Amino acid sequence: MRLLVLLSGIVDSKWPLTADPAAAGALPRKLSPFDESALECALKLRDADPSVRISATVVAPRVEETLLRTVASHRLDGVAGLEIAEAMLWDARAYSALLAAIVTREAGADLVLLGREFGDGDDGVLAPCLAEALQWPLVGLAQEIVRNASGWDLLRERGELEEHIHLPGPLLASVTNDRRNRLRHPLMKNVAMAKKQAFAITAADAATPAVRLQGLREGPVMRLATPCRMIRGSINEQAAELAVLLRGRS
Amino acid sequence: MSVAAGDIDTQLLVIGGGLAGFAAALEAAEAGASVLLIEKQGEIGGSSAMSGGCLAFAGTYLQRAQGIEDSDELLFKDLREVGQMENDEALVRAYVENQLDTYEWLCRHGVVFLAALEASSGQSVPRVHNVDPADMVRTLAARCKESGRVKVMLNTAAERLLCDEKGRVTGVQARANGKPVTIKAQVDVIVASGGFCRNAELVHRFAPQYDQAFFIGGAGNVGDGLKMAWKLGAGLRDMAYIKGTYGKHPVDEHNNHSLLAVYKGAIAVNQEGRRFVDESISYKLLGDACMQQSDGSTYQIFDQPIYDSGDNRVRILDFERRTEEGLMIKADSLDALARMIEVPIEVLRKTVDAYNRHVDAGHDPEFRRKALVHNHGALVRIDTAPFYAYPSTAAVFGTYCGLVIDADMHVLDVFDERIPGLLAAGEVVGGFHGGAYMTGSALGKAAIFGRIAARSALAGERQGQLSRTLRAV
Repeated sequence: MRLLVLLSGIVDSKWPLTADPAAAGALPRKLSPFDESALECALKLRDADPSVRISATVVAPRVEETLLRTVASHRLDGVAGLEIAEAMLWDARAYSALLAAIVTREAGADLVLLGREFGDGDDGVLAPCLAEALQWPLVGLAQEIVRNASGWDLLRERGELEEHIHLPGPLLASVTNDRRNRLRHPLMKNVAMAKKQAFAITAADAATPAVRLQGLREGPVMRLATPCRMIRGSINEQAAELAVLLRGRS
Repeated sequence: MSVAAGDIDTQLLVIGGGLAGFAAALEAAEAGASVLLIEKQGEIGGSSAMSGGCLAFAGTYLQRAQGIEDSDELLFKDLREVGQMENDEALVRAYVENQLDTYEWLCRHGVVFLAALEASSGQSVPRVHNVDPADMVRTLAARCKESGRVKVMLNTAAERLLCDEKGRVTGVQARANGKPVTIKAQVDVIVASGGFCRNAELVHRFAPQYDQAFFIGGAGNVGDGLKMAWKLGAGLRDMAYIKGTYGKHPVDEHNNHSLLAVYKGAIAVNQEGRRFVDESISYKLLGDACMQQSDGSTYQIFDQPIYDSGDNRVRILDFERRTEEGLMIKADSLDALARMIEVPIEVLRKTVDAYNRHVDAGHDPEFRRKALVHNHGALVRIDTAPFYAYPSTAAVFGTYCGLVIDADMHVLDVFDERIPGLLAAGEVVGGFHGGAYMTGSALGKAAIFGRIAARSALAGERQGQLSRTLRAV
């Protein structure tokens, strides 16, 4: 069984953000909590079946070896980096076509995992676009994945309820973070091995994005002037009150 | 205490705002002295505040209340044994003779000890007395402030000791908030500036085998107190015994404390799945043994009853918290555990089976382990699922070596003669621990030796006053 984990990373918040496009692209990245959960789901599947093979591709405007080593320290069967144009992040259709090409190259992947909010600026459309491009079923907000005889069992929580989804493969799953899928620490021996590993980092050449990045601009700083208070009432009432509050800030 | 431009006079100067410094300052203040305490960092606490909060005392009320029989004699014997007889008997004696009084002194000043008592490295009976270490330093600092006799200057780094024409230490050249300042001490200078675990170059000079280890300690622990006294000819001791403490998770960057499941019955195995040491010895010696294994990384292996014997009030035995932090590896069988930590399954199984046979036979022919820790506790089998592995390496929390001192805390030069006007206490001193280390003896030493240093300084002052009076007569 072969698994492919697509990882994007997020800007490491230890470093100051900048509005300079060149400098922003060069900011160090680390795995997002959702990336980590997707990777942990893959590792758990390997725990259950040691014959599972896991590959990971880190896709980002700039891919650093440090991040690849972090991923490789979990003793994966393949780790690679793919650098994309910054504007790709704003063009889900072009981005998903690029990711579909990666999946196709990994011929025979039974399951593709990616973290929720994977590289899409939090608009949540990348995973559905990728599923459409692959013509695969998609499960979003998955928290736990188990292999069964005929496919996959996926768990996700809805309030106090658990939803169990049974699907055959191949399958695309977008993973959200959960106490059950917190990424484990790598073993020291694998950290040491990853330090010696060489990685292929290539630049994406296909699927030119339809949008072009003109520049980045700092947003206005919102200053809190309202004292802290609990927003009460039904969900709709809370949403309405929150909307009023936010409109007042714009 | 008077302050002129760039020039400060005080009666007693204490360098360092950790436990040793504040214990010295408070002891001196309560004896009527005016004290200036300078701290290089922007806040007090140093390595003391970052420590596990363990103090080794014997014969305390807490022990008696729990039916634990302990004594000065047993403490002395344990300290000498764990130090492999390499420690200075006079310093160990000074610790022992002043420990119970210091425990009660800390209690009187509002330091709160938890009810939990545990046996740990080098202890024949449970004598780890637990505190919140940062809170302990803050409490003593508060008492200092209340005394009205202690002035604390933060962001003030001592750079050189100053001497008069007779070689007596009279103060320091320092830098306060970046500006040079001369501080003159009418009585003495007490160096309590900590060790040098954050000075990689200096550690490498004495312990190159620890180049790859973690170094965890106060940011200011770069050895400036040591070097200042060294420049005046101070002798150094125990430098060959810098060691890491076993039980630090090798890749986690958030929890800097060691976990000592071995002292509850776990075995330590290397990446090849084999034991490599008698797990009951001092965690410093375990650290040495660990660093000689592949990648300097090993695993503490134990089962559910051992897990349940942990104590979440004691940081080094808080198994539940480490589980919550995702650091503990758990499996339903030994084979599954071996797979998760990637050690050969057959080897780990044989290792545990052999150990269990040794426990049953009451004899460990491989490593001669006889107790859970030091001379305390009967060995237990590892056979009840689920099983646990805690990845473990060694971390250098403190250097525990340094200036040669006598039992009155006077710093001695390379000819074992006192350097007049200079005393030292806390992590900057050598000679007390020797070859290894008892849990709680570093914080204990900080408080005890800090107080002794203050008393010695003031005794010298009184003697000086008497001499001056007699000369006048």
